[in-house]
Amino acid sequence: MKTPPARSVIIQVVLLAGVLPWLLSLAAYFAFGSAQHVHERLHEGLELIGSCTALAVAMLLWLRSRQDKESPHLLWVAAALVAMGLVDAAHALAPSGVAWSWLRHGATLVGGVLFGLIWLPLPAFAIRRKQFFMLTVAALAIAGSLGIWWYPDILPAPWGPGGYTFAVKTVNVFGGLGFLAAALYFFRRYLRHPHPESLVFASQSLLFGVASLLFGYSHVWAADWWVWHGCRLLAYAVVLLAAYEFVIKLYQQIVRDGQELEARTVDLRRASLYARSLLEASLDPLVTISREGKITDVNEATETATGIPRDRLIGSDFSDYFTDPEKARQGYRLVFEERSVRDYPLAIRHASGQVMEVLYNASVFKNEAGEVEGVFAAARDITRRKQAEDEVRKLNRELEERVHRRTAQLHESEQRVRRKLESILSPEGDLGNLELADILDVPAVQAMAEDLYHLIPIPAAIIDLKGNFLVAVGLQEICSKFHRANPESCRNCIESDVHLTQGVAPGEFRSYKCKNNMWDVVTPILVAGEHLANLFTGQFFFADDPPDYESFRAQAKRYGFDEKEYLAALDKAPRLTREQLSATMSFFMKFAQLLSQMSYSSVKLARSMTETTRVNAQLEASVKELEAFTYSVSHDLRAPLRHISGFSKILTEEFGSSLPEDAQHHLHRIQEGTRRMGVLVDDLLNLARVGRRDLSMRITGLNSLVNEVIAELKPEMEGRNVEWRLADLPFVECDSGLMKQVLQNLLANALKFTRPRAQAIIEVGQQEQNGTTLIYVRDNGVGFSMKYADKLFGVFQRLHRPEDFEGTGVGLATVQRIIQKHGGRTWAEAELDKGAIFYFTIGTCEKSELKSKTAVAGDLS
Amino acid sequence: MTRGQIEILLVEDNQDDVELTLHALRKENLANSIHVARDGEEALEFLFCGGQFSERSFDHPPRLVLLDLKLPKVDGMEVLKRLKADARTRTIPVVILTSSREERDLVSSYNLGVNSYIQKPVDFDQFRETVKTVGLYWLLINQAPVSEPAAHSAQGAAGAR
Repeated sequence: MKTPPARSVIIQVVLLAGVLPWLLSLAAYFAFGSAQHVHERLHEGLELIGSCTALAVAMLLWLRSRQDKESPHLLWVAAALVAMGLVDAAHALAPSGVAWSWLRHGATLVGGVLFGLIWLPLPAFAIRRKQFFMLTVAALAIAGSLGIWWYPDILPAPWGPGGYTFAVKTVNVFGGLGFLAAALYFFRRYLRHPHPESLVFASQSLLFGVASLLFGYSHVWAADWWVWHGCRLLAYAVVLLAAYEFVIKLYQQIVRDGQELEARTVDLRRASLYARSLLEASLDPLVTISREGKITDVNEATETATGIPRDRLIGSDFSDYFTDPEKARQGYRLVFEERSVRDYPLAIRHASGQVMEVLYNASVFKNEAGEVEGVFAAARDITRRKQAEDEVRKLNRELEERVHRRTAQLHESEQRVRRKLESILSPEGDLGNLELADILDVPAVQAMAEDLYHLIPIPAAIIDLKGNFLVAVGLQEICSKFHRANPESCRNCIESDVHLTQGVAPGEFRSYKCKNNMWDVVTPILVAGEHLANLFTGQFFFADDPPDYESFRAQAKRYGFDEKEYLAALDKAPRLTREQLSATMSFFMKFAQLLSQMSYSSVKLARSMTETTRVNAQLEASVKELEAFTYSVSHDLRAPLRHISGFSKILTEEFGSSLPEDAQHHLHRIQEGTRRMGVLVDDLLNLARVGRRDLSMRITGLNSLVNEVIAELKPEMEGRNVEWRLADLPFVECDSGLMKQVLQNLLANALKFTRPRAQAIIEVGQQEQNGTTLIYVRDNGVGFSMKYADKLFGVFQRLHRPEDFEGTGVGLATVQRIIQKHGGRTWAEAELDKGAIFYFTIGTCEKSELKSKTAVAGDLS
Repeated sequence: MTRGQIEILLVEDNQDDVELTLHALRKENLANSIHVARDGEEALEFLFCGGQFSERSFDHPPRLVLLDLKLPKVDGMEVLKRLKADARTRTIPVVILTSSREERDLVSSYNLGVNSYIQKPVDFDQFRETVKTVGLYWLLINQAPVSEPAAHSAQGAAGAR
C-alpha cells in the first residue's frame, strides 16, 4: 500500500507550483522593468498556466464528484474552476485592451459568485444533470468570453486616470467576497470534519478572495498588480495539491483493484480446478451436451465407460454411444421439455461391445444470461443392480411356483377331505368317493391281524383298489425284499392286486397265480354295495405244487436279483395244503364281510347323527320363526281391532239412543268381541315375547313377588271371601318380570276357578322332591278332569266354557314357556270339583337366609 | 292459518286412527288446533317450515307432536331423530303413540330423546282416556321452556280458528 503524501511533499508542491512562478514573476518584473512586451508574454504564460491548472483541477473534481456523493460542494468548485479557467484563458490570449481587462474581472466575478454559491444547499444531482450543469457553465463562460472579446465597445473603459474605475473595483470586490464566503464555508467544514481537503479549498478560496479584493486597487503592469497575479497562481497551486492527493488516491485505488483482481483470478482458477477435479473424481460417467446434441465435455468415467478417449468424444454426437440411439435422443428432448429427467434407463455400449445398463439423471444448464446452453447428464451404472434384481425376480418366481404347487396340493387334499365328509355325512353321498381307510379303523384292524398272525402264521393284507396296503401281516421276504422292491416286478404286483382280483362276488374267494408267479388268494370287501378293497392272503405255495425253480431263476435274471438270496427267500415262503387254505379263506371271507358291515354301519350312524343335528337346528329355527310370526300377526291385529272397538263405541255413544234395541245389543256384542280379542292378542303377544326375550337373571324372593301379585289382584277379590295361605318361599335366580307373570297367571287362575266357592282357599307353598324344590299353587276351585291334563298347557286349550270362566287359553301356555326358559318343569294335578294344584320347578332353587318373613295375606279376604 | 295456532301435530298414516284420535281430542276441545301429517316427510316439512309449509315460522312451533312409528316415506324414528338433533325443534315435546310394544323401539326412542312412549290401547275408552291425558298434560300441566305466548291456553287457541 502507498502511504499518503508526507507534509514535505505538500510543501514541495506548493513551492514548485505556486511560489516559484510567483517569485519568478516578481523577479521578471524587476528585471525587465517597463519593457511592456516582456510583461505581456510573461502575463500570458502565467494566465495560461493558471487556466490550464484550473481546468485540469475542475476535471479531477468533476470526476470525484461523480464518485463522491457525500460532497456536493465539489460540483460548485468544479463549475467555478471551469468558468474561471475558460475566461482566464480568453484573458490570457486576448490582446491588451478593454476586453482583455474586463475578461480578467469577469473571471473573478464568475469564479467568486460560483464559489460563494457553495453555501446553497445543493441536492445530490443525478450524474446526467451534473453533466448538463457543467456543460452549461462551460458554454456560458465561453459565450461570455467571446462576447466581451468581440464587442469591447459595449463595455466601459476599465481604468481611468486614477487607476481602475469604480465598476472594476466593485466587480472585483464582489467576486472577492464570494471567494471569502467560500473560504468561510470550507473553514467551517474543516472545523467540523478536520479533513485536509477542506483546508486546501479554504486556503485557495482565501487566496483568491484576498487577490480579488485588492486587485481593483493595483495598477496594470505595476508590481502590486503582479503580486495579486502571483496570489492567484498560488491558489491554483494549492488546489493542484488537493488534486494531486486525489490522483495519488486514484492511483492507489487502481493498484489495489489490480491486486484484488489478480487474487480473484487466482481464486477463480483454483475453484475451477476444484470443480474439474470433482467432475473427474466422479465414478459416474458425466457429460455435457450442446443444444445441437454434440458432446462438449466429459469426465474420465465417461472415457472408461465408452472406451473412447476424451478428444474423440468431445464434438461427437452423444447418441452414438448408446445401444438405442433413438431412445437416447428422446431422453435428450425430454430434458429440454421438462428441464430435467430422473432415472432415465439407457445402455452405454463400450467400444469393446460390452453393454452397461445405466440410469440417467440430466438437467439443462444455463449461461450467465440465463439462456439454456446445453444438458448436463450423469449416468449411474446399474448393471449389478439389474443382475441382482433379475436374481431376486427369478427367486420370487420359483417361490411363487412352489407356493402355487403347494397350494394346489393343499386345495386338492382339502377337496378330497371335503368330498369324503360329504360322502359320509350326506344321505345321498356317493360312496364311490370313499376309500376304505376313511371309514375303517385301520390301526385297530392291523393290530388284530398281527395278533392273529402270531397264532396262525398265514400272511394277510387289505389292499385298496389303487394298490395301497392298508393292513399287512406276515409279508414274505420274497415279496418285500424282491418283488415289491424292484420297480418292474412291483408293477406286476400292483397289476395283479388290481386286475386279477376283479369280479369276485362277496362271500367268495379266488386263488390265482400273480404275475410274479406266486399264489395269491383274494376276497372283496364291499361297503353298501361298493367294492372298496380286497382282503388277500398269499405268497405261499401249495404243498402239492412245488415252485418251478427254473422260471424263478429266469425271473431273478430278468430283474437283476441275487439268485441265491432270491431262491432262499422263495424257500422261506409257507407251503399250505388246500384244506388249510380253504379253512383260512373261510375265516377271511367272514372277516371281510364283518368289516364291510361294520364300516357301513359306522357310515350310517354318522349320517343319522348329522341328520338329527340338522333336524334339530331346523326345528329350533321353525320355533323361532313361529314366535316371530305370532308376534307380528298379533301386533298387526291390534290396529284393526282398535278401530272396530273405537268406531262401535262412538256408534253406541252418539247414536245409541236412536238405534233399535236389537242393534244396540249387536253393537254391545261387537264391543265385547273386540275386547276379548284384544285381550287374546295381548296374551299371544306376551307369549311370543317370552319366547323371544333373553332372560335377565337376578336373585329374587318369591314371597315378595307373590305379595305384589296379590295386591294387583285386589279388584278381582271384591266381594269375595278368599283365604291366602302363603308359606315361606325360597329366593331363586330368575327373570323376575317373567316369574311374576307365572305367579300372576297361576294366582289369577286359582282366584278365577274358586269363584263358585263361598270360601276360597288358595295356598302357595314349596316342597322337596328328589332333592328338587317344587313351588305349588293349590286351590279348592272347580278343578278339572285329569284326562285333559295333557291339553292344559297348549295354546288356546280351554277346559271350561267361556260363559262359566272367561279366558283366552294362553295363560298356562305362557307359564309353561317361561318355566321352560328357566330350565324348569311345570305340571298340574286336579280332581273335578275338588280343586287343582299347579307345580313348577326352577333350574336353580336355593334356600336363603335372606328370605323375608312371609306376610300372611289372609286378612286380605 | 290465521290466528289459530297449531298446538298439536298428529303424525299418523292410518285414516281410522286419525279419526279416532281427533274424536277423542274433540271431547277436550283440542281437535281444532291439530294439524295432521300423513307421513314422515310431511311432518318434517311442517316442523322445519319447508315445502308446502314454507310460510310457517319457527317462532310458532307446535306445542306437542304425537308421532306414530310406522310411517310411509320417512319413518317415525327418523322424524324423531331429526327433530331432536336440531336446536330449533329440540324443545318441542314428542309423544310416540304407536301399536308397537317392541323393546327395541322403546329403547331407541328414549335414546333419541322422546318425551313419552305410549302404546295405543285396543279398548277405545282406554284410548280416549290416554289421548286426553296426554293432551292435557303436555298442553296445560307441563311447563314448556319456550317463551312463546303460552298464555292463551289450549281452549283459547281452539276457539280462535
